[in-house]
Amino acid sequence: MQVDVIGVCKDYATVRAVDEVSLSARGGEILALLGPNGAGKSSLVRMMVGLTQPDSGSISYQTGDVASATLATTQFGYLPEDRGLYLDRTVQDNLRYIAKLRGMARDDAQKSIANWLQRFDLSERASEPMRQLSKGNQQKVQLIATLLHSPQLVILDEPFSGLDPVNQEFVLSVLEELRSAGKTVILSAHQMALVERMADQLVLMNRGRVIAQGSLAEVRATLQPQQSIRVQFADTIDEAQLAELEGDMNTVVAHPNNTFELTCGGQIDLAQLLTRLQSLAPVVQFSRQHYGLHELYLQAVQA
Amino acid sequence: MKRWQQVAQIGGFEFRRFFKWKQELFSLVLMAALFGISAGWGVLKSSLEETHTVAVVAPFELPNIPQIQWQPVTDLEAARTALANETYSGVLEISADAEQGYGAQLWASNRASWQERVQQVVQAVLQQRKLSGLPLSPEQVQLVNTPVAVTVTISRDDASQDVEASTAIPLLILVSIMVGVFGSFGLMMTAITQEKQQRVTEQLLTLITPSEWMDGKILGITLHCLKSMLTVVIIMVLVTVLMSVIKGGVTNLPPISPSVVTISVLFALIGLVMINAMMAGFAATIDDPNHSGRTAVMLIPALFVGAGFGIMDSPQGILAQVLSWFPLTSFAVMPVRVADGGVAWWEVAGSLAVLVLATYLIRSAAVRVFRMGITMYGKEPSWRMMGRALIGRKLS
Repeated sequence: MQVDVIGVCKDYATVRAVDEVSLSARGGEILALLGPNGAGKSSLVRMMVGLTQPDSGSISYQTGDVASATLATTQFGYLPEDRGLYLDRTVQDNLRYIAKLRGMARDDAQKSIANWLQRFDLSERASEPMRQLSKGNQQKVQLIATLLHSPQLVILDEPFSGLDPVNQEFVLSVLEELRSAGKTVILSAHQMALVERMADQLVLMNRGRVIAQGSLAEVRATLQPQQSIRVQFADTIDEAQLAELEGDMNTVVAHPNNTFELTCGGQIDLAQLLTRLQSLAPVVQFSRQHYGLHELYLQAVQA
Repeated sequence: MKRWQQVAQIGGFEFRRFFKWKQELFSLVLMAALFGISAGWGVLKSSLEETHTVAVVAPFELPNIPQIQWQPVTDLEAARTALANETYSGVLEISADAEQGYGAQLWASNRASWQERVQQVVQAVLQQRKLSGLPLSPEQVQLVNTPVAVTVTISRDDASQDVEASTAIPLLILVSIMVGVFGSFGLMMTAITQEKQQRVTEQLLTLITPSEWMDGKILGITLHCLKSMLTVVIIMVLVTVLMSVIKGGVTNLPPISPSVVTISVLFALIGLVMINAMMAGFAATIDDPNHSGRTAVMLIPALFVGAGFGIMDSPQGILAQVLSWFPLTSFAVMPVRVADGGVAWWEVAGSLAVLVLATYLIRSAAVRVFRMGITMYGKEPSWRMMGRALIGRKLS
């Protein structure tokens, strides 16, 4: 299923929660929405699942050749940010109820529930009330409720929150499995390392607007237009000599042990730069600094 | 899935959510015990009451009274001293009086209920003594002692039962409706505020519409309330029969007309749906039931049932007639009037039609408030917002 969001805006009282957001997610792809609290991610997600309507713009869903402005409950699974199930009912009761409301046949629901509970290592706790489960296990039951009907579109708001690293990895593997099965996965998360590993597309939002989107490389190029290069010379050199390379360098920062950090604007031929640096003194270390998504995210948001 | 199927699924879930076998059995036993205790309170009280010894200075013997032991004495002062030492519960002196024939005085350390019984018996005995001192034949004495009979003849055909029986059925109906209304208050409040607090709402609202959700809740909780009402009626009837058997009498249940039962059930059912719709809409606006000042407002429907109790002594009066047409009270008042008899069929039909229409309108308005309130966390909508939602105006 392909989801197309075009120029969507949403206002709450005097606050514009989502401002001219456009994105497209396809089957077999994981799209991650990133941004600080209040960036508009959940507002956007709520509009995608039909909980609220955009004030302007459009959201459409295409399955094969059939395009639609609405989603059937069987087509999507949604894990909300504000989530919870009936704490006084058992795990099984909760999942059966959700399955029934999704219109699943009794036997299909039972098989799917048993299968997912086994995969999430919760089979033995099926008849326990939800309140007896740890937060992490409750979270897993929530995820099962989202996936048990095998939806084409999976929308997860903060799926990793409340999970320990082992379970985060497990959820990651489930998401990758969904991608392999051709499902469309849209999620919002704060766990940058995880997002960096799995997302095919990133949409970085701040104050309702998209500030960068695309693949990790594309987002990196958008957010980190400058390259940072670390160079260490064998001998002491004069900073003024480096200044001669001013045309290529934006800034030069000196560090101990004849080490310098050079910031270069735009695309630069690294081989040529290295040759020029070696003409000043023998170079013992030359490396390009790669910022992780976490740093890029912080830089972009703080900017 | 069709709308009615969704509503039925939700209704079934809501019913099962509050129906727990262990609790049901426990409450059945508890209810039976409570009714039993209240029905047999007099017997229980007298059997558990302690016996009071009363010293008597009197020129004749007094008849026996349960829980009172007469102790004839001659020395009044010694008896009063013994009263101070708590040897006796009371000291009774009966003396001849020149003008009134007899005089009696009772001394006791504290005021207690047994003293009233002693007073009544002593009064009756002395009255008989006075009568027997007059120059009257035994027939004349008996004539004086026989109270004048006042016979009440009711002209309506269906009013053949005695007064006690005629109030029993309306009372049974009203008590069961009150149980239903209180059940509705408790369950709807719990159902909705818990869902808001446990954050179930957002998950469910992607699967069902607010109106399906609210209708499902109304269905499930109304069924639960009907179950509670039926249980109460059965327990009350069974305990009444049991108590009659224990007392050694014949079970004397008032005759129950099928039409009264049908009309009562119909009015109670629609009334409960209406009350549940009101409760659902309002409960959705409550954020935290422990701290919200609005919780008390949800008890207002109990006043509607109170109207039924209020007109029980005059079920065909003008006020009762008006309240039996007013939809917020008709579900409690009309069954009482019908049980009393003499209500024209067109009145019943008309009142029912008004009730159905009002229920439809209230339910429609409640859905709008429910839709607004159910996703509002951490704050409650203002009365102005609720008012706008009620009349279907967009919230600004």
